[in-house]
Amino acid sequence: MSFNLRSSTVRGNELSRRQFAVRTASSMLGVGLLPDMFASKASAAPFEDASPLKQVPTARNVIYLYMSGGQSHLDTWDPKVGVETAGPTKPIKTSADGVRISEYLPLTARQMHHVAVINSLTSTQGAHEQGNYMMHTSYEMRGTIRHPAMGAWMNVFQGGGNSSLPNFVYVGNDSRHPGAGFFPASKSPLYVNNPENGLKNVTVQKGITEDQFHARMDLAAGLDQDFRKEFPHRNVNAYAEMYDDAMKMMKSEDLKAFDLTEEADETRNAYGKNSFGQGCLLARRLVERGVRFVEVSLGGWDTHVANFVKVPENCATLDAGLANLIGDLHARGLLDETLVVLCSEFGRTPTINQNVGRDHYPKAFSGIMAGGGIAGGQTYGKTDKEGREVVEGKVQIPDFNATIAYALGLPLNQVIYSPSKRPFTIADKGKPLTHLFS
Amino acid sequence: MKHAFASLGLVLSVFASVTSGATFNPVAEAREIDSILERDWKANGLKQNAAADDNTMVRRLYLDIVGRIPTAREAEAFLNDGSPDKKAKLIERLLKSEGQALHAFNYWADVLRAQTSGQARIIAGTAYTEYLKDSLRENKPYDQLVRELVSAQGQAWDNGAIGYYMRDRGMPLDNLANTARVFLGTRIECAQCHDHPFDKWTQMQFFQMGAFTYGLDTNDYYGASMNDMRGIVRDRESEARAMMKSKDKKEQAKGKELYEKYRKEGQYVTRAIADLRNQIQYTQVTLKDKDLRLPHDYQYDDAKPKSVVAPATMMGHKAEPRPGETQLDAYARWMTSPENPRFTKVVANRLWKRAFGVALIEPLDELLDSSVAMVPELMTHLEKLMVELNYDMRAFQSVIYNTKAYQSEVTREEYALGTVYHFTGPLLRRMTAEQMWDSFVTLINPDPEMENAVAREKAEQRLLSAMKMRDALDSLTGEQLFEGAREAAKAYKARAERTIELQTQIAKARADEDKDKAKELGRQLSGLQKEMRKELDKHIVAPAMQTLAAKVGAKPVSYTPGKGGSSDEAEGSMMMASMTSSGDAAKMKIPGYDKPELTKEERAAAEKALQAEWTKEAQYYGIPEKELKYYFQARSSQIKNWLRAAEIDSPAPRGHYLREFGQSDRETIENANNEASVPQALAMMNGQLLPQILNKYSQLMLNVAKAKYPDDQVEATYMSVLTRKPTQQERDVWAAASESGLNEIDDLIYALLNTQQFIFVQ
Repeated sequence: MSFNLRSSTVRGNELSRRQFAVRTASSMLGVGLLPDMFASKASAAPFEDASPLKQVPTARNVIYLYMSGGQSHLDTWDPKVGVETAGPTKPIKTSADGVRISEYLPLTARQMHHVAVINSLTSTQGAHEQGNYMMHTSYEMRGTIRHPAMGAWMNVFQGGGNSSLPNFVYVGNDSRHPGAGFFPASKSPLYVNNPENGLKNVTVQKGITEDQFHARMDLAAGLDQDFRKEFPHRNVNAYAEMYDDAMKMMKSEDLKAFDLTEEADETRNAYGKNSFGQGCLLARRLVERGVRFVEVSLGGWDTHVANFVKVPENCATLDAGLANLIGDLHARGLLDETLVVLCSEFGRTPTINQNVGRDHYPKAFSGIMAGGGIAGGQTYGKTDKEGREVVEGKVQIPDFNATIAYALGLPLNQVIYSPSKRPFTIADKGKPLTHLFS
Repeated sequence: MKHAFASLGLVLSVFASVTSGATFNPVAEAREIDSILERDWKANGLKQNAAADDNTMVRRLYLDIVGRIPTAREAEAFLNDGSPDKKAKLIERLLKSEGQALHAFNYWADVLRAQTSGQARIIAGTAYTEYLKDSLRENKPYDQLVRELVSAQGQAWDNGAIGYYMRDRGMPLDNLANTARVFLGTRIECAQCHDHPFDKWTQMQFFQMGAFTYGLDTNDYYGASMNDMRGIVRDRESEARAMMKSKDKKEQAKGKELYEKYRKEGQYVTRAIADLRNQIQYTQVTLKDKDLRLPHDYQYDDAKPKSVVAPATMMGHKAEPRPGETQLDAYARWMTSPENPRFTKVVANRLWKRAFGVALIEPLDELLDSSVAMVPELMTHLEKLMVELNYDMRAFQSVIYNTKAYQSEVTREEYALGTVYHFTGPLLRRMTAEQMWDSFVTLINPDPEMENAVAREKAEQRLLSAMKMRDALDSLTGEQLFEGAREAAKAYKARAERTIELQTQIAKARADEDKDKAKELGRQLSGLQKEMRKELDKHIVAPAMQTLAAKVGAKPVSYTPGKGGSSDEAEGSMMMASMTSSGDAAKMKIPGYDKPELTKEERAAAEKALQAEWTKEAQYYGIPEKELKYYFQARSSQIKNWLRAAEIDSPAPRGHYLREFGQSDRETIENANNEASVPQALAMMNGQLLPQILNKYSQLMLNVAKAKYPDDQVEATYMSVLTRKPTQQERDVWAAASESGLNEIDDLIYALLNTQQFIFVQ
């Protein structure tokens, strides 16, 4: 798709360090291939244990639901019974035999035959920012580099969908999303703050007719012809092309994806009239039009105080969005090719604190996956009866992310060099949970 | 190097900070550079590009030095100046202007990843960004600036340079890798985990370098009183524990009872103190005695894993402390010494690249022993010049901007990465995001150089408030703080109990599907948070503020939570500490910590001074007397709403035009990009900038309104947007456009803003 790929092939004439390094890397090292000069022990070592597993993709798209703030695993996907750490939260039966989730997610409970719950996630990052970064990138947050989020990796390896829209969309307000990391800005997600406001600047200014707009742009090209002739530089040409693309986009039918008013009121209400619910609805509409990676975030999970008041509230929002999304994707035949992922930076302490809250707990927590080749109706991994320790099937964050990459058919052991010539792989040597797939 | 002296009647004012004796003449110095380049061109069969015309030069100089296009008025002043040394004069004036500091800040903020908040958090982040701007404003010598950064300690409000370490809070080794790259042009981050695969650096060297700054603690934020208080809590608990170990059964039981009591109370005390501490967290950097150890998987033979590493420099001489110097000082002195083989080279290249678009060695932050400069003689010369100028960046840049090479037309051919460039002129560059934004601001604001007092005051007050809180807490003794915290803890305990009650009631209301009741109870629950703050205010912050006020000699005022202060004599007097009506003790005004509010008269005088400026502008633009009122309104909204890029948070929030134009997110070094993107094109075509630029009182429209005839209006538009008159061919194109219905000047303006020549610097 032109939107994302164009600028990667375009280089400005100004020598930026990033460009220089990318170029040097590609000419000297062969980007993406493990070069001979890395055969020395020190530098080859990090990749000895990268997973060689790769499959024919089972998922074409990913809808990634991020629970920002640290979702209480005990009050959502891993409820307990008969222990103090359970608090007042009760498990309920679901559409999947033997799978129980929290009573706060009754609608989702009816979709659980599509879902695999992973109750054995574990992380070492107990602060929001670091945890969030780790979850999104599989790497620890560092001061010398930014690692890419999964959507950017996908953009690099597999490029475009078949839409005039960007391939990677982020719906939410978190300003610290790692985005494209060290990849060029063109691999970044398109950021949509409010799903109901649609895309910025895609309509002609008020008071100007379509004809006038085009006449003005023709005039601009006319007045610029000498300059463009004199400087046929790559970045100058890129602008001309980018303007063409932007104008094509303004006319694109795909833009209608952002017009949520096309949906029946009933549907919109069912997803929940809040930015998460509408974000889920937007995600479905985007995926239908060929956008391949959509992240929707839902905040409010940092429940240090009054956990059992706030979690049910959040769950009500989550439940409507998530359950309708899965149901809807399934009804439209899209669930098979769309992997729905839900995760958070960490779980919350089993011990309930003095403010009836739960604090940060990276040691054991939960995430879910549905569709995109995942066998539904299962749970993977286990915590002890109080939800404190993982006692079965420990899943590190890189493993979780490797599973997403595996579903997309991305090469987990292919080394990519950052512009600073440091070697990285998708999901930092994580091992995909292959038995989650049907 | 021999200094070139003023001659040929080109007498320029002296750069005060330059070495004693000789009068520094940047033009004559520039000729030396030109002659080096001429020799290089001759040897390579090249010729200098044609000299750039005045229109091109005035636009380029404004963009390169102050980061924006000139206003039509500024451009005309230059074009109409008949003196032969007008370029030199303009360069000197611009280099001393506020705009220079702002533009340079944008560059260094990208290099140093300086963020207004982010990892450093808002207090240290604000202090850091303001410190950088101030340093650039006062033209602090570069070596001094770097020394201050790498040896920074203290509190944010006293020393904004601590932001250099706070920026990488909790990541001291990453900070070191960045230091080596930014100031020494050397990439050592690979050596953090193993010997560098391409360069000579070993992992041992990395850790030896890291040992210099490893002891700088960025998590030290309790302050004296809070530390004392924590000591009291610890002592009391250990006393109880000691009693528990007593042989006397009675004593034992008493100890146990006490211990339980302390523990129960302690959790709420801790909570209360944490809430206080959060307000002054991450505001201090102190050097602690902390050993750096090799990693557990250290694989080389020269040392054992986990062994302690002593500091040692990676190149050049040793960093041995002189009498009275700490090891850290010696390290900073080593780093910035003219004898350091890479320090000067890097900054000379940086400033050269800012003018020409490419450095003498690329990438300038990845120097190797084998790196050869594109024009080696010039590299040596520039390094010498930098040292002779005592790292005076302004003087150094004045030399570069005065070279004939710089004042040539840009090179027509596209420069290919990785090839040798001979600097026959600057390269064509796309404006940076900040240059684009500030140029839009210029099209709107008739005087974009006017200092932004509002933005600066906001930053200053933010720091003063943090300092006030910290000093106030420190003005209490540990005991007083403890007593206050114990009182507050009672309320914390009550809140916890109330929370449980409310939770049960809410669950019941929900089960009953009584939404209104659940909502009301929810409101009560969130109200508890506010009550806690009030309790903290009452028991700790208010007494602390009053103690501080008394200490600084201001008359303390009585404090009633929620009611604000009252003091008969204090009313209205600036020398008295006074409470604001909100009842928030932290907002209590204390002289020295709060800038005195302007009196009515002072406010009126300030307003009048501004309006006098604006009246002069109005006269220049021929605004009729009766419209002045509207002009003032428009101007006052412009200075509020159209801040220069450097006056906006660093980086600007996501979605801001600056970010669409490619402003760096300040996460990695020099992360800005100048690539074309669809969102950028959309913003230029359909964004809200254009309507603002077309406002009656924008700089551009004032110029247009001043012109009488349509032809003159076209000229005024060209002058304002592109700093030149239209060519005949362009006039023809515009004339022809009327056939497609375009005959308003708005149409022309829209089109010109969407040309590429507008955003490329020629």
